[in-house]
Amino acid sequence: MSTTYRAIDWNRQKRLYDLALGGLLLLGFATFIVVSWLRSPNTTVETVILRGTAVTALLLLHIILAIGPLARLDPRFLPILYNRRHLGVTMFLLALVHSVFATVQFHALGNENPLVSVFTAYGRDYNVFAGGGFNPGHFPFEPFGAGALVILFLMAATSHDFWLRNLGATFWKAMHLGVYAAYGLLLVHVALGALQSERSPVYPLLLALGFVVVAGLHLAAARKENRLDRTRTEAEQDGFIRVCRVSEVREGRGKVVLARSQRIALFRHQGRIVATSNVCRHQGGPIGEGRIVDGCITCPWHGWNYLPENGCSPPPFQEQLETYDTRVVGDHVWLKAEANPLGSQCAGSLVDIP
Amino acid sequence: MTDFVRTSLQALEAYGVFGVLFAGAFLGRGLPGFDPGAKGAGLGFRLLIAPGVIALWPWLALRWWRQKRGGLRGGGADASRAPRRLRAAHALAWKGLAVLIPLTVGTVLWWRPIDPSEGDLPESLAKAAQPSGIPGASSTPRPLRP
Repeated sequence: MSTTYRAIDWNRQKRLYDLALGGLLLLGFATFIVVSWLRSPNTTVETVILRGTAVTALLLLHIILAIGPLARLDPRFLPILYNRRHLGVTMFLLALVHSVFATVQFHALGNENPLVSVFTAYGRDYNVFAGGGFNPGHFPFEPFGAGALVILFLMAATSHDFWLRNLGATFWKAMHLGVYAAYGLLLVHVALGALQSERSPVYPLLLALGFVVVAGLHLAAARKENRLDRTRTEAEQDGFIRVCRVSEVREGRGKVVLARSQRIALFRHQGRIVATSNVCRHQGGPIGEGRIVDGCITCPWHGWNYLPENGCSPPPFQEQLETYDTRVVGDHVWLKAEANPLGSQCAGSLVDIP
Repeated sequence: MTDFVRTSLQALEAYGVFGVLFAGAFLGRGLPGFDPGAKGAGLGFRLLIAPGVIALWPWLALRWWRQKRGGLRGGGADASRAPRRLRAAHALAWKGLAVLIPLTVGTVLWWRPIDPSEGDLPESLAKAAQPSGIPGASSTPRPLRP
Protein backbone atom coordinates (compact mmCIF):
# COMPACT_ATOMS: atom_id res chain seq x y z
CA MET A 1 0.00 0.00 0.00
CA SER A 2 1.25 3.47 -0.81
CA THR A 3 -0.34 6.92 -1.11
CA THR A 4 1.99 8.00 -3.94
CA TYR A 5 2.98 5.75 -6.82
CA ARG A 6 6.52 4.52 -6.95
CA ALA A 7 8.21 2.46 -9.64
CA ILE A 8 8.35 -0.47 -7.20
CA ASP A 9 7.36 -0.43 -3.54
CA TRP A 10 10.36 -2.38 -2.39
CA ASN A 11 10.22 -4.29 0.88
CA ARG A 12 12.19 -7.17 2.32
CA GLN A 13 9.86 -9.85 0.97
CA LYS A 14 9.93 -8.42 -2.56
CA ARG A 15 13.73 -8.24 -2.50
CA LEU A 16 14.00 -11.85 -1.37
CA TYR A 17 11.43 -12.88 -3.98
CA ASP A 18 13.30 -11.18 -6.80
CA LEU A 19 16.67 -12.44 -5.61
CA ALA A 20 15.34 -16.01 -5.57
CA LEU A 21 13.77 -15.49 -9.01
CA GLY A 22 16.97 -14.05 -10.49
CA GLY A 23 19.11 -16.80 -8.95
CA LEU A 24 16.88 -19.59 -10.23
CA LEU A 25 16.71 -18.05 -13.71
CA LEU A 26 20.49 -17.72 -13.91
CA LEU A 27 20.93 -21.29 -12.69
CA GLY A 28 18.38 -22.60 -15.19
CA PHE A 29 19.90 -20.64 -18.07
CA ALA A 30 23.47 -21.71 -17.17
CA THR A 31 22.36 -25.35 -16.98
CA PHE A 32 20.72 -25.04 -20.40
CA ILE A 33 23.90 -23.56 -21.94
CA VAL A 34 26.15 -26.27 -20.46
CA VAL A 35 23.83 -29.11 -21.57
CA SER A 36 23.44 -27.56 -25.06
CA TRP A 37 27.17 -27.28 -25.59
CA LEU A 38 27.85 -30.75 -24.20
CA ARG A 39 25.27 -32.21 -26.62
CA SER A 40 26.23 -30.11 -29.66
CA PRO A 41 29.60 -28.35 -29.28
CA ASN A 42 29.09 -26.52 -32.62
CA THR A 43 26.02 -24.65 -31.43
CA THR A 44 26.44 -20.90 -31.87
CA VAL A 45 25.96 -18.41 -29.04
CA GLU A 46 22.96 -16.88 -30.86
CA THR A 47 21.25 -20.26 -31.15
CA VAL A 48 21.86 -21.03 -27.47
CA ILE A 49 20.37 -17.67 -26.44
CA LEU A 50 17.45 -18.18 -28.83
CA ARG A 51 16.63 -21.61 -27.44
CA GLY A 52 17.55 -20.84 -23.82
CA THR A 53 15.26 -17.82 -23.57
CA ALA A 54 12.45 -19.80 -25.23
CA VAL A 55 12.75 -22.74 -22.83
CA THR A 56 13.11 -20.52 -19.75
CA ALA A 57 10.18 -18.30 -20.74
CA LEU A 58 7.92 -21.27 -21.40
CA LEU A 59 8.89 -22.89 -18.10
CA LEU A 60 8.29 -19.63 -16.27
CA LEU A 61 4.87 -19.25 -17.90
CA HIS A 62 3.89 -22.69 -16.62
CA ILE A 63 4.98 -21.68 -13.11
CA ILE A 64 3.07 -18.38 -13.34
CA LEU A 65 -0.08 -20.18 -14.49
CA ALA A 66 0.22 -22.78 -11.74
CA ILE A 67 0.65 -20.30 -8.86
CA GLY A 68 -2.93 -18.97 -8.89
CA PRO A 69 -4.74 -22.31 -8.61
CA LEU A 70 -2.11 -23.67 -6.21
CA ALA A 71 -2.77 -20.76 -3.85
CA ARG A 72 -6.54 -21.39 -4.14
CA LEU A 73 -6.07 -25.07 -3.35
CA ASP A 74 -3.47 -24.71 -0.58
CA PRO A 75 -2.76 -21.44 1.30
CA ARG A 76 0.88 -22.49 1.80
CA PHE A 77 1.49 -21.33 -1.78
CA LEU A 78 0.24 -17.79 -1.07
CA PRO A 79 3.76 -16.34 -0.52
CA ILE A 80 4.63 -17.17 -4.16
CA LEU A 81 1.53 -15.33 -5.35
CA TYR A 82 2.61 -12.15 -3.57
CA ASN A 83 4.96 -10.88 -6.28
CA ARG A 84 3.68 -12.79 -9.31
CA ARG A 85 3.71 -9.62 -11.41
CA HIS A 86 7.51 -9.61 -11.36
CA LEU A 87 7.46 -13.16 -12.69
CA GLY A 88 5.16 -12.05 -15.50
CA VAL A 89 7.30 -9.08 -16.51
CA THR A 90 10.46 -11.26 -16.40
CA MET A 91 8.73 -13.82 -18.59
CA PHE A 92 7.79 -11.12 -21.12
CA LEU A 93 11.39 -9.83 -21.20
CA LEU A 94 12.71 -13.34 -21.88
CA ALA A 95 10.14 -13.77 -24.67
CA LEU A 96 11.16 -10.38 -26.09
CA VAL A 97 14.86 -11.34 -26.17
CA HIS A 98 13.89 -14.61 -27.87
CA SER A 99 11.83 -12.83 -30.54
CA VAL A 100 14.49 -10.18 -31.21
CA PHE A 101 17.18 -12.85 -31.66
CA ALA A 102 14.88 -14.94 -33.88
CA THR A 103 14.00 -11.93 -36.06
CA VAL A 104 17.63 -10.88 -36.44
CA GLN A 105 18.93 -14.38 -37.05
CA PHE A 106 16.30 -15.55 -39.52
CA HIS A 107 14.82 -12.43 -41.10
CA ALA A 108 17.33 -9.58 -41.02
CA LEU A 109 19.65 -10.66 -43.84
CA GLY A 110 17.32 -10.27 -46.81
CA ASN A 111 16.00 -7.31 -48.78
CA GLU A 112 12.66 -7.28 -47.01
CA ASN A 113 11.86 -5.39 -43.80
CA PRO A 114 12.61 -8.02 -41.09
CA LEU A 115 9.23 -7.48 -39.39
CA VAL A 116 7.41 -7.96 -42.70
CA SER A 117 9.55 -11.00 -43.38
CA VAL A 118 8.50 -12.58 -40.05
CA PHE A 119 4.94 -12.86 -41.38
CA THR A 120 5.53 -13.35 -45.08
CA ALA A 121 8.81 -15.17 -45.66
CA TYR A 122 6.95 -18.47 -46.04
CA GLY A 123 3.75 -17.10 -47.50
CA ARG A 124 2.93 -20.30 -49.33
CA ASP A 125 2.74 -22.10 -46.00
CA TYR A 126 -0.42 -20.28 -44.93
CA ASN A 127 -2.29 -22.65 -47.21
CA VAL A 128 -2.44 -25.91 -45.26
CA PHE A 129 -3.95 -27.62 -48.30
CA ALA A 130 -1.03 -26.72 -50.60
CA GLY A 131 0.17 -29.68 -52.64
CA GLY A 132 -3.17 -31.45 -52.54
CA GLY A 133 -3.08 -32.86 -48.99
CA PHE A 134 -3.87 -31.61 -45.49
CA ASN A 135 -0.62 -30.26 -44.15
CA PRO A 136 -1.10 -28.25 -40.94
CA GLY A 137 2.58 -28.58 -40.01
CA HIS A 138 3.31 -26.18 -42.88
CA PHE A 139 1.46 -23.29 -41.27
CA PRO A 140 3.95 -20.61 -40.16
CA PHE A 141 4.63 -20.66 -36.44
CA GLU A 142 5.82 -17.03 -36.25
CA PRO A 143 2.38 -15.31 -36.14
CA PHE A 144 1.42 -17.38 -33.09
CA GLY A 145 4.56 -16.32 -31.23
CA ALA A 146 4.02 -12.69 -32.29
CA GLY A 147 0.40 -12.79 -31.09
CA ALA A 148 1.46 -14.16 -27.72
CA LEU A 149 4.20 -11.52 -27.45
CA VAL A 150 1.68 -8.70 -28.04
CA ILE A 151 -0.58 -10.05 -25.27
CA LEU A 152 2.36 -10.49 -22.89
CA PHE A 153 3.53 -6.95 -23.69
CA LEU A 154 0.11 -5.47 -22.89
CA MET A 155 0.04 -7.37 -19.61
CA ALA A 156 3.58 -6.39 -18.62
CA ALA A 157 3.03 -2.75 -19.65
CA THR A 158 -0.14 -2.48 -17.54
CA SER A 159 1.11 -4.45 -14.55
CA HIS A 160 1.65 -1.40 -12.31
CA ASP A 161 -1.01 -0.45 -9.75
CA PHE A 162 -1.50 2.82 -11.67
CA TRP A 163 -3.21 0.79 -14.40
CA LEU A 164 -5.13 -1.36 -11.96
CA ARG A 165 -6.52 1.79 -10.37
CA ASN A 166 -7.31 3.66 -13.58
CA LEU A 167 -8.52 0.82 -15.77
CA GLY A 168 -10.60 -0.52 -12.87
CA ALA A 169 -10.01 -3.90 -11.18
CA THR A 170 -12.74 -5.69 -13.12
CA PHE A 171 -11.49 -4.61 -16.55
CA TRP A 172 -7.84 -5.01 -15.53
CA LYS A 173 -8.37 -8.54 -14.31
CA ALA A 174 -10.47 -9.45 -17.35
CA MET A 175 -7.74 -8.06 -19.61
CA HIS A 176 -5.11 -10.10 -17.79
CA LEU A 177 -7.11 -13.27 -18.52
CA GLY A 178 -5.41 -12.81 -21.92
CA VAL A 179 -2.49 -14.78 -20.48
CA TYR A 180 -4.50 -17.93 -21.18
CA ALA A 181 -4.79 -16.99 -24.85
CA ALA A 182 -1.04 -16.24 -24.88
CA TYR A 183 -0.37 -19.67 -23.38
CA GLY A 184 -2.46 -21.38 -26.04
CA LEU A 185 -0.74 -19.40 -28.83
CA LEU A 186 2.69 -20.28 -27.43
CA LEU A 187 1.94 -24.00 -27.32
CA VAL A 188 0.86 -23.90 -30.98
CA HIS A 189 3.97 -21.77 -31.76
CA VAL A 190 6.18 -24.49 -30.23
CA ALA A 191 4.27 -27.35 -31.89
CA LEU A 192 4.44 -25.73 -35.34
CA GLY A 193 8.00 -24.52 -34.77
CA ALA A 194 10.57 -26.35 -32.71
CA LEU A 195 8.65 -29.64 -32.54
CA GLN A 196 8.52 -29.93 -36.33
CA SER A 197 12.27 -30.45 -36.40
CA GLU A 198 13.00 -31.89 -32.94
CA ARG A 199 12.18 -35.58 -33.28
CA SER A 200 12.71 -36.84 -29.73
CA PRO A 201 9.38 -37.86 -28.11
CA VAL A 202 10.62 -36.26 -24.87
CA TYR A 203 9.73 -32.72 -26.04
CA PRO A 204 6.05 -33.32 -26.93
CA LEU A 205 5.69 -35.38 -23.75
CA LEU A 206 7.13 -32.58 -21.59
CA LEU A 207 4.83 -30.08 -23.29
CA ALA A 208 1.83 -32.35 -22.70
CA LEU A 209 2.84 -32.90 -19.07
CA GLY A 210 3.10 -29.15 -18.47
CA PHE A 211 -0.31 -28.58 -20.01
CA VAL A 212 -1.96 -31.42 -18.06
CA VAL A 213 -0.54 -30.10 -14.76
CA VAL A 214 -1.56 -26.46 -15.39
CA ALA A 215 -5.01 -27.28 -16.81
CA GLY A 216 -5.62 -29.88 -14.07
CA LEU A 217 -4.77 -27.37 -11.31
CA HIS A 218 -7.04 -24.72 -12.82
CA LEU A 219 -9.95 -27.11 -13.22
CA ALA A 220 -9.47 -28.46 -9.66
CA ALA A 221 -9.40 -24.90 -8.25
CA ALA A 222 -12.49 -23.97 -10.29
CA ARG A 223 -14.30 -27.03 -8.90
CA LYS A 224 -13.40 -26.03 -5.34
CA GLU A 225 -14.63 -22.46 -5.88
CA ASN A 226 -17.81 -23.69 -7.51
CA ARG A 227 -18.51 -25.99 -4.54
CA LEU A 228 -18.23 -23.03 -2.15
CA ASP A 229 -20.54 -20.91 -4.32
CA ARG A 230 -23.14 -23.67 -4.27
CA THR A 231 -23.21 -24.00 -0.47
CA ARG A 232 -26.81 -24.10 0.69
CA THR A 233 -27.95 -21.01 2.60
CA GLU A 234 -28.81 -21.85 6.21
CA ALA A 235 -31.82 -20.74 8.27
CA GLU A 236 -32.92 -17.08 8.08
CA GLN A 237 -34.54 -14.95 10.83
CA ASP A 238 -35.20 -11.17 11.00
CA GLY A 239 -32.98 -10.63 7.95
CA PHE A 240 -30.11 -12.54 9.60
CA ILE A 241 -28.76 -15.73 8.06
CA ARG A 242 -27.11 -18.54 10.03
CA VAL A 243 -23.73 -18.97 8.34
CA CYS A 244 -21.47 -21.12 10.53
CA ARG A 245 -20.54 -22.29 14.01
CA VAL A 246 -18.58 -19.93 16.26
CA SER A 247 -15.84 -22.52 16.67
CA GLU A 248 -15.18 -22.39 12.92
CA VAL A 249 -13.86 -18.81 13.23
CA ARG A 250 -10.55 -18.88 15.08
CA GLU A 251 -9.16 -15.87 16.95
CA GLY A 252 -7.14 -13.64 14.60
CA ARG A 253 -8.20 -15.62 11.55
CA GLY A 254 -10.74 -15.19 8.78
CA LYS A 255 -13.39 -17.45 7.33
CA VAL A 256 -15.30 -17.11 4.07
CA VAL A 257 -19.04 -17.75 4.31
CA LEU A 258 -21.86 -17.53 1.82
CA ALA A 259 -24.97 -15.42 2.40
CA ARG A 260 -27.48 -15.05 -0.41
CA SER A 261 -24.95 -16.13 -3.05
CA GLN A 262 -22.50 -13.53 -1.79
CA ARG A 263 -19.12 -14.31 -0.23
CA ILE A 264 -18.55 -12.54 3.07
CA ALA A 265 -15.45 -12.59 5.30
CA LEU A 266 -15.81 -13.28 9.02
CA PHE A 267 -13.02 -12.44 11.46
CA ARG A 268 -12.67 -13.07 15.18
CA HIS A 269 -10.75 -10.25 16.80
CA GLN A 270 -10.41 -9.62 20.53
CA GLY A 271 -13.35 -11.89 21.30
CA ARG A 272 -15.71 -10.32 18.74
CA ILE A 273 -16.87 -11.57 15.38
CA VAL A 274 -16.95 -8.97 12.61
CA ALA A 275 -17.97 -9.35 8.98
CA THR A 276 -16.68 -7.52 5.89
CA SER A 277 -16.85 -7.89 2.13
CA ASN A 278 -14.65 -10.74 0.93
CA VAL A 279 -13.32 -8.67 -2.00
CA CYS A 280 -10.11 -6.69 -1.39
CA ARG A 281 -10.22 -3.16 -2.87
CA HIS A 282 -6.80 -3.71 -4.41
CA GLN A 283 -7.04 -6.71 -6.72
CA GLY A 284 -10.17 -8.43 -5.48
CA GLY A 285 -8.21 -10.83 -3.25
CA PRO A 286 -10.13 -13.12 -0.89
CA ILE A 287 -10.06 -11.09 2.34
CA GLY A 288 -11.60 -13.93 4.36
CA GLU A 289 -8.57 -16.12 3.73
CA GLY A 290 -6.40 -13.52 5.44
CA ARG A 291 -5.55 -12.86 9.08
CA ILE A 292 -5.55 -10.07 11.63
CA VAL A 293 -2.05 -8.59 11.68
CA ASP A 294 -1.24 -5.71 14.08
CA GLY A 295 -4.96 -5.20 14.69
CA CYS A 296 -5.79 -4.94 10.97
CA ILE A 297 -7.57 -7.34 8.64
CA THR A 298 -4.84 -8.22 6.14
CA CYS A 299 -5.49 -9.44 2.59
CA PRO A 300 -3.60 -12.68 1.91
CA TRP A 301 -2.58 -11.61 -1.61
CA HIS A 302 -0.68 -8.35 -1.20
CA GLY A 303 -1.12 -7.42 2.47
CA TRP A 304 -3.64 -4.55 2.10
CA ASN A 305 -4.98 -3.54 5.54
CA TYR A 306 -8.45 -2.69 6.88
CA LEU A 307 -9.65 -1.93 10.41
CA PRO A 308 -12.05 -4.60 11.73
CA GLU A 309 -14.36 -2.06 13.41
CA ASN A 310 -15.27 -0.08 10.25
CA GLY A 311 -13.65 -1.76 7.23
CA CYS A 312 -11.55 1.35 6.48
CA SER A 313 -7.84 1.27 5.68
CA PRO A 314 -5.80 2.92 8.43
CA PRO A 315 -4.88 6.59 7.64
CA PRO A 316 -3.53 7.97 5.36
CA PHE A 317 -5.03 5.29 3.10
CA GLN A 318 -8.63 5.72 1.97
CA GLU A 319 -9.86 2.31 0.84
CA GLN A 320 -13.05 1.01 2.44
CA LEU A 321 -14.69 -2.40 2.66
CA GLU A 322 -18.38 -2.98 3.23
CA THR A 323 -19.16 -4.28 6.73
CA TYR A 324 -22.09 -6.43 7.84
CA ASP A 325 -23.93 -6.79 11.14
CA THR A 326 -23.40 -10.06 12.96
CA ARG A 327 -25.11 -11.88 15.83
CA VAL A 328 -23.92 -14.76 17.92
CA VAL A 329 -26.79 -16.94 19.08
CA GLY A 330 -25.78 -20.00 21.03
CA ASP A 331 -23.05 -21.75 19.08
CA HIS A 332 -23.89 -20.12 15.75
CA VAL A 333 -22.90 -16.97 13.88
CA TRP A 334 -25.75 -15.10 12.17
CA LEU A 335 -25.14 -12.47 9.54
CA LYS A 336 -27.19 -9.70 7.94
CA ALA A 337 -26.72 -10.00 4.17
CA GLU A 338 -27.28 -6.24 3.54
CA ALA A 339 -24.09 -4.22 3.86
CA ASN A 340 -23.79 -1.22 6.20
CA PRO A 341 -22.99 2.19 4.67
CA LEU A 342 -19.28 2.42 3.83
CA GLY A 343 -17.14 3.61 6.72
CA SER A 344 -19.80 3.20 9.42
CA GLN A 345 -18.76 1.76 12.78
CA CYS A 346 -19.62 -1.89 13.28
CA ALA A 347 -18.64 -3.30 16.64
CA GLY A 348 -19.31 -6.91 15.74
CA SER A 349 -20.80 -9.37 18.20
CA LEU A 350 -19.28 -10.65 21.39
CA VAL A 351 -18.42 -14.31 21.54
CA ASP A 352 -19.29 -16.06 24.79
CA ILE A 353 -17.86 -19.39 23.78
CA PRO A 354 -14.07 -19.54 24.11
CA MET B 1 -0.30 -11.03 -47.97
CA THR B 2 2.92 -9.02 -48.05
CA ASP B 3 1.05 -5.80 -48.84
CA PHE B 4 -1.41 -6.45 -46.03
CA VAL B 5 1.40 -7.05 -43.51
CA ARG B 6 3.36 -4.02 -44.74
CA THR B 7 0.32 -1.74 -44.46
CA SER B 8 -0.55 -3.11 -41.02
CA LEU B 9 2.98 -2.53 -39.77
CA GLN B 10 2.98 1.02 -41.16
CA ALA B 11 -0.30 1.72 -39.38
CA LEU B 12 1.17 0.29 -36.18
CA GLU B 13 4.25 2.46 -36.63
CA ALA B 14 2.10 5.60 -36.99
CA TYR B 15 0.08 4.57 -33.92
CA GLY B 16 3.35 4.17 -31.97
CA VAL B 17 4.68 7.59 -33.09
CA PHE B 18 1.47 9.28 -31.91
CA GLY B 19 1.74 7.27 -28.72
CA VAL B 20 5.28 8.48 -28.04
CA LEU B 21 4.24 12.12 -28.65
CA PHE B 22 1.23 11.71 -26.38
CA ALA B 23 3.33 9.98 -23.69
CA GLY B 24 5.74 12.94 -23.68
CA ALA B 25 2.90 15.39 -22.96
CA PHE B 26 0.97 13.13 -20.61
CA LEU B 27 3.89 11.98 -18.48
CA GLY B 28 5.48 15.42 -18.49
CA ARG B 29 2.43 17.55 -17.61
CA GLY B 30 -0.84 15.68 -17.39
CA LEU B 31 -0.13 12.86 -14.96
CA PRO B 32 -0.56 14.60 -11.56
CA GLY B 33 -3.92 16.05 -12.62
CA PHE B 34 -5.03 12.77 -14.12
CA ASP B 35 -4.45 10.66 -11.00
CA PRO B 36 -3.85 12.31 -7.60
CA GLY B 37 -1.76 9.28 -6.58
CA ALA B 38 0.81 10.32 -9.20
CA LYS B 39 1.51 13.70 -7.57
CA GLY B 40 5.20 13.76 -6.70
CA ALA B 41 5.84 10.41 -8.40
CA GLY B 42 9.41 10.03 -9.62
CA LEU B 43 11.03 9.43 -12.99
CA GLY B 44 11.25 5.67 -12.38
CA PHE B 45 7.48 5.40 -12.08
CA ARG B 46 6.91 7.53 -15.19
CA LEU B 47 9.34 5.42 -17.23
CA LEU B 48 7.71 2.23 -15.95
CA ILE B 49 4.23 3.20 -17.11
CA ALA B 50 5.48 4.80 -20.37
CA PRO B 51 5.11 1.60 -22.53
CA GLY B 52 1.51 1.26 -21.34
CA VAL B 53 0.82 4.95 -22.07
CA ILE B 54 2.19 4.51 -25.60
CA ALA B 55 0.14 1.34 -26.13
CA LEU B 56 -3.14 2.68 -24.69
CA TRP B 57 -2.83 6.34 -25.69
CA PRO B 58 -6.26 6.76 -27.36
CA TRP B 59 -8.03 5.52 -24.22
CA LEU B 60 -5.90 7.73 -21.96
CA ALA B 61 -6.34 10.75 -24.24
CA LEU B 62 -10.11 10.37 -24.19
CA ARG B 63 -10.17 9.96 -20.42
CA TRP B 64 -7.81 12.87 -19.89
CA TRP B 65 -9.93 15.09 -22.15
CA ARG B 66 -13.15 14.09 -20.35
CA GLN B 67 -11.50 14.75 -17.03
CA LYS B 68 -10.36 18.20 -18.12
CA ARG B 69 -13.98 18.96 -19.02
CA GLY B 70 -14.95 17.89 -15.51
CA GLY B 71 -16.90 14.82 -16.50
CA LEU B 72 -14.71 12.24 -14.88
CA ARG B 73 -12.95 11.84 -11.58
CA GLY B 74 -9.55 10.17 -11.93
CA GLY B 75 -7.75 7.64 -9.83
CA GLY B 76 -10.71 6.11 -8.03
CA ALA B 77 -10.07 2.69 -6.56
CA ASP B 78 -12.39 0.12 -8.05
CA ALA B 79 -12.49 -3.25 -6.39
CA SER B 80 -13.59 -6.11 -8.51
CA ARG B 81 -17.36 -5.91 -8.39
CA ALA B 82 -18.01 -9.18 -10.10
CA PRO B 83 -15.67 -11.77 -8.61
CA ARG B 84 -18.15 -14.54 -9.29
CA ARG B 85 -18.32 -13.66 -12.97
CA LEU B 86 -14.53 -13.54 -13.14
CA ARG B 87 -14.30 -16.95 -11.50
CA ALA B 88 -16.77 -18.27 -14.04
CA ALA B 89 -14.69 -16.73 -16.85
CA HIS B 90 -11.56 -18.46 -15.52
CA ALA B 91 -13.33 -21.81 -15.36
CA LEU B 92 -14.82 -21.39 -18.85
CA ALA B 93 -11.43 -20.38 -20.30
CA TRP B 94 -9.77 -23.52 -18.93
CA LYS B 95 -12.58 -25.81 -20.04
CA GLY B 96 -12.15 -24.36 -23.53
CA LEU B 97 -8.36 -24.63 -23.46
CA ALA B 98 -8.56 -28.22 -22.17
CA VAL B 99 -10.27 -29.12 -25.45
CA LEU B 100 -8.74 -26.66 -27.92
CA ILE B 101 -5.05 -27.05 -27.08
CA PRO B 102 -4.80 -30.87 -27.23
CA LEU B 103 -6.84 -30.81 -30.45
CA THR B 104 -4.70 -28.14 -32.16
CA VAL B 105 -1.30 -29.27 -30.92
CA GLY B 106 -2.18 -32.93 -31.49
CA THR B 107 -3.25 -32.24 -35.08
CA VAL B 108 -0.11 -30.25 -35.81
CA LEU B 109 2.16 -32.94 -34.36
CA TRP B 110 0.35 -35.86 -35.96
CA TRP B 111 0.81 -34.38 -39.46
CA ARG B 112 4.40 -33.32 -39.04
CA PRO B 113 6.97 -34.79 -41.46
CA ILE B 114 8.10 -38.29 -40.55
CA ASP B 115 11.74 -37.38 -41.10
CA PRO B 116 12.65 -33.69 -41.02
CA SER B 117 15.89 -34.25 -42.96
CA GLU B 118 13.82 -35.42 -45.94
CA GLY B 119 11.15 -32.76 -45.62
CA ASP B 120 10.83 -29.24 -46.95
CA LEU B 121 10.54 -27.50 -43.61
CA PRO B 122 10.33 -23.71 -43.75
CA GLU B 123 13.82 -22.23 -43.93
CA SER B 124 13.69 -20.76 -40.42
CA LEU B 125 12.88 -24.18 -38.97
CA ALA B 126 15.48 -25.90 -41.06
CA LYS B 127 18.05 -23.35 -39.87
CA ALA B 128 16.96 -23.76 -36.29
CA ALA B 129 17.27 -27.52 -36.62
CA GLN B 130 20.97 -27.16 -37.45
CA PRO B 131 23.14 -27.05 -34.31
CA SER B 132 25.13 -24.19 -35.78
CA GLY B 133 22.09 -22.35 -37.08
CA ILE B 134 23.45 -22.66 -40.64
CA PRO B 135 20.83 -23.34 -43.32
CA GLY B 136 21.15 -26.65 -45.11
CA ALA B 137 17.91 -28.58 -45.17
CA SER B 138 16.92 -30.11 -48.47
CA SER B 139 13.89 -28.82 -50.32
CA THR B 140 12.59 -32.12 -51.64
CA PRO B 141 8.92 -32.92 -50.91
CA ARG B 142 8.52 -34.43 -47.49
CA PRO B 143 6.58 -37.58 -46.66
CA LEU B 144 3.39 -36.94 -44.75
CA ARG B 145 1.42 -39.11 -42.40
CA PRO B 146 -1.58 -40.73 -44.08
